[in-house]
Amino acid sequence: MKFIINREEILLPLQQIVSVIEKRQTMPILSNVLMVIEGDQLTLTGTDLEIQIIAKINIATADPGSITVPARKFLDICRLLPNGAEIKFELQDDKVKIASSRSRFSLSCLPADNYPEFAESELENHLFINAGKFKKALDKTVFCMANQDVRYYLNGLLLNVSNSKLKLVASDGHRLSIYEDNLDQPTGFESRIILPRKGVLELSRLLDDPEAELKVEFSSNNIRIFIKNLIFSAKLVDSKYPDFGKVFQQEFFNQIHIQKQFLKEALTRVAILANEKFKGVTFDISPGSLKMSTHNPEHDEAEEELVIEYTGEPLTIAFNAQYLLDAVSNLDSELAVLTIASNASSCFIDEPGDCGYKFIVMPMRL
Amino acid sequence: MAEQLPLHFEFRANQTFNDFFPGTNREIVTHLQRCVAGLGEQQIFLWGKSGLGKTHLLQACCHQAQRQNIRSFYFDLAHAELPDPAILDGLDEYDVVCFDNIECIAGNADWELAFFNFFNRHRDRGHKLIVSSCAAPNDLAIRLPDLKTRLNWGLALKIQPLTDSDRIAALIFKADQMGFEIAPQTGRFLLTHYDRDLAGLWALLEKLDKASLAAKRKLTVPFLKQILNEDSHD
Repeated sequence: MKFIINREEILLPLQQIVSVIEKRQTMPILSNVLMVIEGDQLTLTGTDLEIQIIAKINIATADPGSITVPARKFLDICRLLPNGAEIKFELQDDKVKIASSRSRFSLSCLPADNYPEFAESELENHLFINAGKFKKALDKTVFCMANQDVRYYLNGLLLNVSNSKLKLVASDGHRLSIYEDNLDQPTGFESRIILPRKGVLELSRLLDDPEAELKVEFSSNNIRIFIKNLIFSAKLVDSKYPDFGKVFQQEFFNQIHIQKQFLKEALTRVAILANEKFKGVTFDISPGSLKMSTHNPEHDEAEEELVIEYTGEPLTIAFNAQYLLDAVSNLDSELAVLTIASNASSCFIDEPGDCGYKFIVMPMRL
Repeated sequence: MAEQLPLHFEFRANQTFNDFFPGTNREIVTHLQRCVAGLGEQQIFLWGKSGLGKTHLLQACCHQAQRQNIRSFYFDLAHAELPDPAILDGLDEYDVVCFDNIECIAGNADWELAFFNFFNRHRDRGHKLIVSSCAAPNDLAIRLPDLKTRLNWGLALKIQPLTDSDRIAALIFKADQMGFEIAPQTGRFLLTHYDRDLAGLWALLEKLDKASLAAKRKLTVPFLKQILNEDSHD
């Protein structure tokens, strides 16, 4: 096995693959990248057994073969070579020789036959979506996903396709984000799958070209997404996403309109003196005015007052400042619209007009 | 003490055979499944104390029937007042009919007679009847002797309470369906320190689910003690 490649051609795919490879491994071969040359194509594969990324690179002169090499070491070598360097890669006995200009490296490798195959069932559903559109949907939801919750379904993202409607939902149980959009082509099916947290974060990183057209294929166990020269695959979370529709079926106070920037700045300042663990900030809302206040066990206190657009009953509600900041920061508009349930049991945050997404932040009892 | 309120997630817990933890009652499940599918008894009388899962099993029979495109009907007689016995009209056309808490018609002459007539029509058509009750057929206060005999015709099955180890397994099973984990020692703690009735345990499980979601904590024994303590102070 032998090939020559320009550093710029291999560096990005290699970086993308290495990011799914876990630093600590139970199987040594999983810290390696699988490299296969067939015809004039080099295929790189990395996996942690839950997610897999395959990159295909066209190559001019090559001798076929396959091998696995330590991914991080190989990446660091390529990364630290000068821009535009020609990298010569050759398998000699049980070593891989890498040469470029005056640099010489010899890497230990493991045979390709031992590389674990990513078991995928037949993927019966498919759809096409623009990468920019999908990236936006992910950006508006991923920040609400739970991290290491005991409920597997919360450590992931619900992807709900109903014919030509696309819906993404993420929640950690304290807040929830919903994003809705239309697909250009009707799919003719209805399905609900949960993508695992790590997969969602990796996928989001791969969608750097908003113009790219994605092909998404999935079954109830696996998903595979074709992104230009990459193929991203992941095992899905084997669980049912719970129903949260009840949160919409209630009475609400009038909408509150606040300048997003002022709200963010004031919240950030007040939060300095909030209880470090709960970050609780109280909102006293009356027509035209929002008073935020907080205090902590050290008896420090903070207060801010903002001019808002609101008519209606005065109300008091408390939130974790961080949840509110995350939600407000993810709005695209200048104006934030807060809609609070009339029993102060939840708060909806979105833009004026129809924006396709909505964040829900659950309040605190202080 | 500051407290984060969690979102209200709902699990539409299906009352199917798959959601039922059989424990020592596996045989009952088999009998019911065979009955619905038309491979077993024509009539089943299921009895036992409340909170053991009779309603769940009857509902499961209807779910299964629905899946197999068999016409089925379920009615719980324990709700408030007995309806007009006219509800029985035309019911004999249904392949599988389930009546929950049949003891409620005992002593109501109109209902007893109407049920007796329905029973005969339904049985003549070869359709299946599944009834549940808190007592064995002979111990029911049914006044119409012919109806009492007929309720005795079929297979009478007594639903058994779960053993302690099965109860723990059932808790873990149910929690798993709700999407979270309960360690066996946590289950044992709940059984020794709290409700031993299954229905009470399910209600408790929902409360624990909410508390662990609010606090983002696993259900460890110290955390349980804290939740149950706060509860008793409310």
